[in-house]
Amino acid sequence: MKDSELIQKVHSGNKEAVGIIIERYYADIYRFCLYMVQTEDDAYDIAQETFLKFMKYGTSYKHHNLKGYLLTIARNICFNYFRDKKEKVTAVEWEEINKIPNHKDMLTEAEDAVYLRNLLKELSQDTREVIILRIYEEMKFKDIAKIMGCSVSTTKSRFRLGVNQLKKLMENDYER
Amino acid sequence: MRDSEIKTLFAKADEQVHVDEIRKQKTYYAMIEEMEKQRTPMMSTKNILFHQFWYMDKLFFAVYGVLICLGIIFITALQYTGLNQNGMITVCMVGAGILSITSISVIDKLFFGKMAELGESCYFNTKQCVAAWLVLSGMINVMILFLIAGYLNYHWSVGLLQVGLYILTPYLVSSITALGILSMETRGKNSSLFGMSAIFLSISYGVIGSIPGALFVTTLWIWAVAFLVSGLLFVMQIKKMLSKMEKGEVLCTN
Repeated sequence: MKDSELIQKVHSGNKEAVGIIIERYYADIYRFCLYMVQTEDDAYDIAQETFLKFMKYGTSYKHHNLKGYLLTIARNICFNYFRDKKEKVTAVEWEEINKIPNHKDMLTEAEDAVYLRNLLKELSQDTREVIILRIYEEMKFKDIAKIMGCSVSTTKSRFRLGVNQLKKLMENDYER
Repeated sequence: MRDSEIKTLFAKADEQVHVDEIRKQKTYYAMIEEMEKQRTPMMSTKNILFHQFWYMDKLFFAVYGVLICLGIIFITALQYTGLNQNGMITVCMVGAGILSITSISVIDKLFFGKMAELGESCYFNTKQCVAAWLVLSGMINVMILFLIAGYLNYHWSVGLLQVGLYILTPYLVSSITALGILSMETRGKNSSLFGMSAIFLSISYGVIGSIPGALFVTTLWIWAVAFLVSGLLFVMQIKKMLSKMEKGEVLCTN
C-alpha cells in the first residue's frame, strides 16, 4: 500500500493503516531520534511525540514522502529537546558520557551502537543530523536540505565536514 | 577510511539497537486514542460561536448599538437644522468611518481581552469568532449604510452610485486603519489608537467634504478609483490579520 493511500485511510479512521505506518516507520524514526539525542528513553518519547504530531496535524495533507515528513517532525522535536536540554546540562551527564567506551577498549561487538553514539555525540547537532540522514537514512541531499531548511550546498558542506570529523575520531581511536 | 566504513558502523549499530515492542505498542495505542479523539464529534462550530458570543461581555455590543442609534438621531437632528447637501454627505462619511472603527474596535475588547482561560477549556477559536463578528457587524453596518444612502438619495436626490461611493470609501479606509491597529502588537494601547484614528479620519473626511468640487459628479471617477483601491487593501488587511492571528502574533489566547 502506498503512503498516500495509508494517510488517506488514517484520515478516514482506519486503525489498520495506523498499525501499518507504525510497523513501517517506527524503527526508523526511533533510531533517527536515538542517534540524534543519544538517550534511549528520550528517543522513545520523541518518536511517540512524532507519531502523535503526525496524527494531530499531518493526516489531512498529502505527502509524497511520508518517511521524510515524519523525519522532519522528529528533527524539529529533537531540536526543541536540545534547546530545552541546553539549560539543564549537569555534571552527572558528563560522568555518563565518560562511561561510554571508545573503540580502543574493544569490549564486545555489542558495543558498536554505543561507540557510534559516542562518535556522533562529538559532532555538532546540524552536522550529526546531515550524517544520519545521508548515511543512515540514505536520503538525497536535496531532500535533506528541504528537511533542514537550508541550501543543498550547505548540506553538502556540513556532510563533508561531518564525515571528516568522524574519520578523524575513528582514526584517532585506532591509533590509540 | 571511507564513507562506507561509517555506513557499516551504522549497519552494525542498527543490529544492536533493538526497538522495544512495548514502547512501540504504546505509541500505536496513543495514535489510536488521538484518532478517536479527533473523530469524536465535539460541539459544532455554530454552537461554539453561539456560546462564545453568549458569554461575552455585552457592554461593547450595547455601546455599538447605542452609537448606531445616536448616529441616526444625530443625522435626523441635522436634517431639521437645515444643513446643506454637502454638509450632510460629509457627516454621513464621518458617521460611516466611526461606525467601521467602532465595530472593529469591539473585536479588540471582546476577543483580545481576558479570554486566555477560555482558550484551552472551551475549544475557543478566536479566528472563527472574529470572522463571525466581522460578518455580523459588516452586515449590520452595510444595512445602516444602505439606510443612509437611501436617505441621501431620497431627501437630497444624490445618485445612489454616487452616495454609495461617498459612504463606502470612508467606511473601507477606516476599516483598513482599524484592522491595521488590531494587527499591531500594542497590547493595552489599542483603545487610544482607535480613538485617535477615529478623530484623525473624521477630520480628514470633513476636510475632503469641504473641498470645493470634491463631491461633484465630475470627480466621481476619483472616488471610484479610491473605492476600488480601498476594497483591495481591505481584503489584504483582513487576510493579514487572520494570518497573524493564526500564527498567534496578535492572539493573547494559548
